[in-house]
Parts: sequence; C-alpha cells; structure tokens
Amino acid sequence: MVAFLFLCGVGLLLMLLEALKWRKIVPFFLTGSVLMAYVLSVLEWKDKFNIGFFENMIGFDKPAIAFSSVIIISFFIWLFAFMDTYKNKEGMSEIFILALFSVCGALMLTSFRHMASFFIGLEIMSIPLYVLAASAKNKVESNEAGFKYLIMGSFFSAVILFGLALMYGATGSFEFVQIKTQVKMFPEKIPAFFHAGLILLLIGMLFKASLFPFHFWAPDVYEGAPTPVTAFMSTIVKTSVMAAAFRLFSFSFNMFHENLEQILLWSIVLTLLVSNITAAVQTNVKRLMAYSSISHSAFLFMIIYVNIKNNISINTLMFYTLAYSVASLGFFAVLNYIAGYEEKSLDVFKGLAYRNKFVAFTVLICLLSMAGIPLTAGFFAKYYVLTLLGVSGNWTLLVLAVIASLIGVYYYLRIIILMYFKEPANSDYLEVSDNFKTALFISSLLIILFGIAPAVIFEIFKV
Amino acid sequence: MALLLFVFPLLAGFLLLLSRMRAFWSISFIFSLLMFAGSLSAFFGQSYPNFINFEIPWVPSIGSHFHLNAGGVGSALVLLTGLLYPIIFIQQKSRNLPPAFFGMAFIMQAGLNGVFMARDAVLFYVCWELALIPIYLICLMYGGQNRETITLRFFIYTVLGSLFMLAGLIYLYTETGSFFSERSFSHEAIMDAGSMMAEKKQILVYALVFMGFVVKIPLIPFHVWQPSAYTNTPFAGTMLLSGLMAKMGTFGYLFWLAPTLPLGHQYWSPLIMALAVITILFAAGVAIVQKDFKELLAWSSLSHMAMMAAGITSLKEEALSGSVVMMFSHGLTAVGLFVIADILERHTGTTQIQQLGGIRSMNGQFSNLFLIVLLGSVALPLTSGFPGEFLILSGIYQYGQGWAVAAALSVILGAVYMLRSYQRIMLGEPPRDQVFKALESTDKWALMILCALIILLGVYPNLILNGIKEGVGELFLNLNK
Repeated sequence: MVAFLFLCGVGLLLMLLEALKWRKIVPFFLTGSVLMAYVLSVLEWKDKFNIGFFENMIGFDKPAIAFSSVIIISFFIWLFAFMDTYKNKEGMSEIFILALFSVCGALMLTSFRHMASFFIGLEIMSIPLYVLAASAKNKVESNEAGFKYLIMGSFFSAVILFGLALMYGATGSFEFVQIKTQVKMFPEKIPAFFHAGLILLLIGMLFKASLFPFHFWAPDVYEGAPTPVTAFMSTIVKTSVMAAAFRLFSFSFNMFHENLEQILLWSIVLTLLVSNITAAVQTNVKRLMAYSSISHSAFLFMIIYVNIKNNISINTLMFYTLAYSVASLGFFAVLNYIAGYEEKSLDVFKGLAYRNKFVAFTVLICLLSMAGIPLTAGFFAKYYVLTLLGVSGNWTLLVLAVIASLIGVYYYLRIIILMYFKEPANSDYLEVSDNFKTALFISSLLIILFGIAPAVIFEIFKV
Repeated sequence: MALLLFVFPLLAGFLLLLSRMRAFWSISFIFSLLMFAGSLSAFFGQSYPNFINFEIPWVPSIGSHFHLNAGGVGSALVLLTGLLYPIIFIQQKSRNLPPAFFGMAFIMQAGLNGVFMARDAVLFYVCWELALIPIYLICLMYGGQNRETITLRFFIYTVLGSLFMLAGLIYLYTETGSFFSERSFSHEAIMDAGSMMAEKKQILVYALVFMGFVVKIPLIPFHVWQPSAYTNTPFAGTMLLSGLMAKMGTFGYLFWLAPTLPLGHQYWSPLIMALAVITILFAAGVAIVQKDFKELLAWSSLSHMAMMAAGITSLKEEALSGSVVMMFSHGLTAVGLFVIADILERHTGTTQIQQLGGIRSMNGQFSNLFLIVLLGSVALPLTSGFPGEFLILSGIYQYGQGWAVAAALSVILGAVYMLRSYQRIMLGEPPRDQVFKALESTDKWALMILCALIILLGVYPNLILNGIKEGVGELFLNLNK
C-alpha cells in the first residue's frame, strides 16, 4: 500500500519537476524512487496483513505484494534497459512519467477488491499505454499502433464495464467479497444475466491478455510501438493483467464455472496452437516476439484455468510472470539497442556474437529461458505449469503445452543460430553503455539464480 | 564425491568458456584426469554410502530433492565418462580445438554424470538437457556441410522425445504420495508408484517416457537424426556422441523405465523387442554396404545400441548386467574406432573405403591396434565386447528363442562388415601415390590405452560386473514385489 501511494506521489512530483524545468534529475530521481518503492513493498510482507483501504477498495494481501514486487522489479530493469534511449532527448520525462502512471495502474490491478478500483486501475494502466504506443510520433506505424490500441482497448474496456454493470445489477454490490458470498449463499436467486456479465468480463480479460480469438491487436501494436513500449507491454502489463485475472477468476468467481471453463479452455487451446505456429514462420522479430508473448499468455492462463478448481497455484503464476518478464526485458533491451525503429527483420541478430560476446550471451540466456531449457528460470516456470496440469489431471492440455514448447524451442533457436553462426552484416564492435549493461546483468543473473535455486522465490507462499 | 563429480566439471567448463588461457589444453587434460580419479574412487568406494551420496532439498513444495548417488548401475557409466575424457583429449591434442570446445565438453560431462547419478526425476531431466545443449553447440560450431539442417533435426528429435518424457515423469509424480507421505520426485517414490499403477495408466506412461529414451538410443524409426549427426560432427564430437551420449538413452531406459512399470513393460516389450531386433539387423545390413568408413561406424554403432536396448527389454538380470557391460565396452570400442577413422582421415585425407588399402604394409603397428579394437567391436571372446553380448543374448534367449536367434545374427553381420572393411583398408595393395607415416604419439597412446582396456575387460569382466551387481539387484527388488 505504501509503495503504491509512494509511486503515485512520485509521479505527481515528477510532473512538477518537469514543469519547473528540472528535467535533468528525472531519471535519477525515478530510479531511486522505484528502488525505494520496492523496499517499501517488501517491508509490508507480513502474515495476515489483510486490511482494506479506502472503504475496502484496495487491499495489499500477500499475492498483491508479490505481484507488485514483480512489477516493480520489472520496471526497475526496464528503466535501466531503456534509459539511454530517452535520456536527454525530447519528451524524455513525459515518457517516464506516463510509464510510471501506467505502473501505478498495474499495482492497482494487483490489489483491487472492488469493481470500481478494478476498472480504474485498468484504465490508469491502459490510457498512458495508448499514448506510449504512439510515442514515436513521426512514424506512421507508431501512430497507427497507438490508434489501433486505443480503439480496441476502449471497446473492450466498455465490454468489461458492461459486464461489471450486469453483475452489479444481479447482486446489488460492487465488492467482490460480497458478490462471492451472495452467489454462494443464494445461488437460486442469481439471475441469468449475472453469468452473461461474467462472460463479458472474461472476454475483456482475454483481450487484455491477448488470448485467441482476441489476440489480433497484439502483433500490430507490438510491431508498431517503439521497442521500449513493446517491452513494457509484454512484461509489466502482462503481469498485472494476469494478477487481475487471477484475483477475478480464482479468488472471486471460482464456484460457478460451468460456462466459463469451456470458453477459457478452448481459448487457451487455440491460442497455444495459433500463436506458436504463426510465430514459427515469422521473419519480423517484433511480430515473432508478439506471438511468443501470446503463447506465454496462454501458459499463464492455463495456471488460472487450473486454479478455478484447486486454489494451489499462486506460486506458479508469480514465478512464471517473474521468469518471463525478466527474460523478455533482457531480450527487448538488446533488440532496442541493436536495431533502430525501422529495422524489424530477424537479420539484426546476425552475427551478434562476433560483435559483442556479453550481449549475445545475455540474449542466449533470455531465449533459453523463454524456451524453457533447464538451468534457467524459464525451465522451472514451465515445469511447474506442467506439473500443475499433471496434478490436476488436465492431460490434454499438458500434451498440447509440450507440443507448444517444442515449436517454441524451434523459433527461439532460430535467433540463437543467427547470433552465433552467421556472419554479421557490419562487424564493428558493439559498444554498450553502463546502464544497459546493468540491465542485462541483472536479468541474466536473476534468470540463472532462479534456474538453479527456484525455491528461493517459489516457496514464499505456503498454500 | 557425487556432488564434486557434478559441480567440478560444470565450473571447469565455465572457466574454460569464459577465460582466455593459453595453456587450455593442459588444464583441460589435468581437469579430466582429476575427474577420472574422482570417478574411479567413487566406483570402488561404493561401499561407503556417505562418500557417494549427496542429498539436499531442492524444491520442497513439489517434493524435489537435489539427490545424487554415484553408486549402483550408473557408477559404471560415471567411470566410463571419467575414463574416456582424458583419452579423447589426448587423442585430439594435435587438432587444435578451441578452448570453447573443451568448455562445452566439460559442461556436457557434468550433464552426463548428473544423468547417471541423479536419483530425482527433476534433477535427472535437468541434467539430461544439460548434457544435450553443449553437444548441439559442438555440432553447430564445428560441423561439416549442412550442419544447421542436421543439428536442427537432431535438436527437434531429441527435444520432442525429452518433452514427452517430461510429461511421463510428471504423470508418475502425480501417482506418488499417499495418505502418509507427500508427493515426491525421488527415484524410489516413482518406482513404488509405478509398480502400483493400474495397467492402462502404466501403458500410457510407459509410451510417453519411452519416447525420450528411444530417440536417444535410437531405434528405428526414430534413428533418422543419428547417421547424419555422427558423420557431420567433427571426430571429437562424434566420440562424445557415440561413446557417451548414446548411453544416456539406454541408461535411462534401464534405470528409470523398464523396472518401474512392470505391466507397461509387459505390454510394450514385444513391440520394443521387435524394433530393437529390426534395428540390429537393418543397421548391420546398411553398414555392410556403406562406402564411407565413418558412416559405416555410425550404422554399426546404431546396431550395437539396439542390441543393448534388446537386452534391457528382455528384463532378465544377466541381460541388464550385460547391457551395462556392453555400454562400457561399446564406449571403448566406439571411441577407438572413431579414433581410427580420424587417423585415417588425417593421414590419407579420406575415409572412403574404396580409396584406401594396403596400410598394413606401410604401418604394421597401426594395423594391429586397429585389429584389436575391431575384434572388441565384433565381440570376440577375450575382448570386452564378448561378456556383454553373451549375457545379453542369454537374457534374450530366456525372453524368446526366436528373438535371440535373430539378434545373434548381428554378430555374424558385424564380423562381415568389420572384417571386410579391415581387409579393404589394411590389406591388399596401397593406392599408388599413398604414403602412411608413423602414428603421432598422442594417437598411439590413446589407441594403446583403449586396446589395453578392451583386453583387460575381456579377460576380467567382473571388474565392472562386481561394481554394478548391487545396483541391478535393487532394480529387481521392485519387479519381484
């Protein structure tokens, strides 16, 4: 809670700094504050810390703090990775401030207890993103991406809102706990349109998490948006949407799932197939990563799907989001560094190992982690998901997940081969800055640490 | 010691990969000798459980332990790994391989030792993949033409297999645990759970796990990646692949699968036996018509690996021991034969059998060493190949006489292709302009050590058999329950 308020305050302060033309200290101040916020957030980690704030609209229980920490860590790495792209350029502080507000929205999404705070969080997170996606304002594609995202995003926000309204109409309450109890106590009194509302809510969340058949926006937006924004969307936004979906479908609405479950199951199955097969034939690196990100969304939603029945998997979800975010940030950082806005072909990775060994090695680790190869965090993330599917008896999903990982290995390997076994188009040594190096170092360190000793982080929730 | 056998090569590998030492060959060689000493002490120190065992909790919430044990069936293979590394390094000294190769070879050694020592399914899977990654990279970096296509095929096949295996292991995991105990990935728990499962489930899980092993062994029709991968890798890589890597498949089959699911094994064993026997005969037949010596060796290796698989499939105690002995012996002879192919290529510039001939008249010593390795490979009595094949065939005979007769044909076929190639390469008239100089001392030493071991093991197979007796016995405890 303190961390959340603190970051909101920092956002306002930064706007003030910008207005007072002290923009030079913005990056420094922001980095310090994010680190501070992380400390504050970890300090709140206590047993039975379950008080709601603002008339029980927000509550930072353990899952909320855990996901907040994942988001804050990701944001921290994001700042280091993309600092140099914006530092002392036009529009620097706007971009950092917008990103920070988006993070505040994301934190709200991890901790809501009330329909209003859920929706407000979602919008606080999304609206800065629409602007950020269009932030390369001289490029047509970027504007297109921002516009597309705005139209689609607003439309599905409306769908969610409609769903929430129906649910409110059916139960007369905005608070998720009360809705839950009401449905549990008097199931016969709940009108049918409550379920319609629930389905609309689910569809909205599927859109936000870019699952099939609501995934079409993701490749376009990922491709058009500047790389730092793409990285932001595929990590921080994804983590928060997953945390929100977990809270909605596991904590709140987990006992009336007959219709939900089928929709979710088919959506996951088709996402796994469509995204991986499409990714395997991409030549555009950002579109490839977009489809890979969609495939990871499907993995994450599998955890939520399993969780509808047995509430055991919050560790897995958190570990997966963390592993994926860290690897994804490392990858996008390098992509941003070696390729300009216009260069989108996979060939930018050609011969990277000859140009800078350290950078190539980091990309290698990140890709291996995303592919789920042992001794990286991604392996255990995937392993936990598969174990979870096995324990809960979803064997069809497990086999599909295995096949999907296999295809994933293929397209990640393509990039690795390009890096290590092709001659570079230009063989100059690739100079790297300290900030960038720090980001890469942190991400590869975390990936290897969690790959060797996953219990460090995996055991924090005793369920 | 178990932990050391795993961690030391891992650290050594990263050290060699990251640092730029000039004396990297000597350092790698010393490291490999240290590993050999370690594996030797572990093999002969099996009676001290504290010495060879290492266990700490790894991921408690899913019941996974970091549990390594250098005893039992795997001990022979740990010893083999420790033994072959210095020999390969010595023999490859003059090839000017880069430090990265040695680094990856050590990481692979960590993986291999991990696979042979792991007593926990998660750890086993991690090490399994850990051993595969360096060899992909070796194939990719130092391979010949078409290396990308070939490595990709190799990669896809093996990853497909291992992911199915993962699914199967997870299924077994879900069956472990009871009212009294938590779920666990440990070998004992999985063995217990496996033998209790209903027949239908056993059949399904057996198929899943077997996929991982059959690709690695490999048996027809999963062998497509193997000959091209063997022939396109540089010799050092081929030696690692055929001498050590292939053993992962047979070891996994023997240790994790065959005794674990008795009913599943009963259901599938006729099919596997048929596949194995077909592979034995088909590969031997293909080897006969090969024109290239390296390709011939690849097919002959396929045939021998299938023989071990057939032995394990029979699930008789002597056949299991025989398979382990044969794995050991095949490690020696396969590396020996690839060493010979390497020498041939370097001295004459080709491995095409047609273009070779009359080497005996130019270098008698080389020809004698070749003959010993070759006789070891065709399993002549008093060479290391014999006890293993004999035990396997006697096990298969108990399983089904027809199978034993068919499998035994391979001994004849093996003699045919091996002796014919010997005859053509070594005897007869040399091509006109060919000279064959004296062997380099490194090559000579490597071959002489291998020959000595081949004969030693042929005369006294109990050296290995005694070491694994207890381990094989343990596996049978589960079956007799």
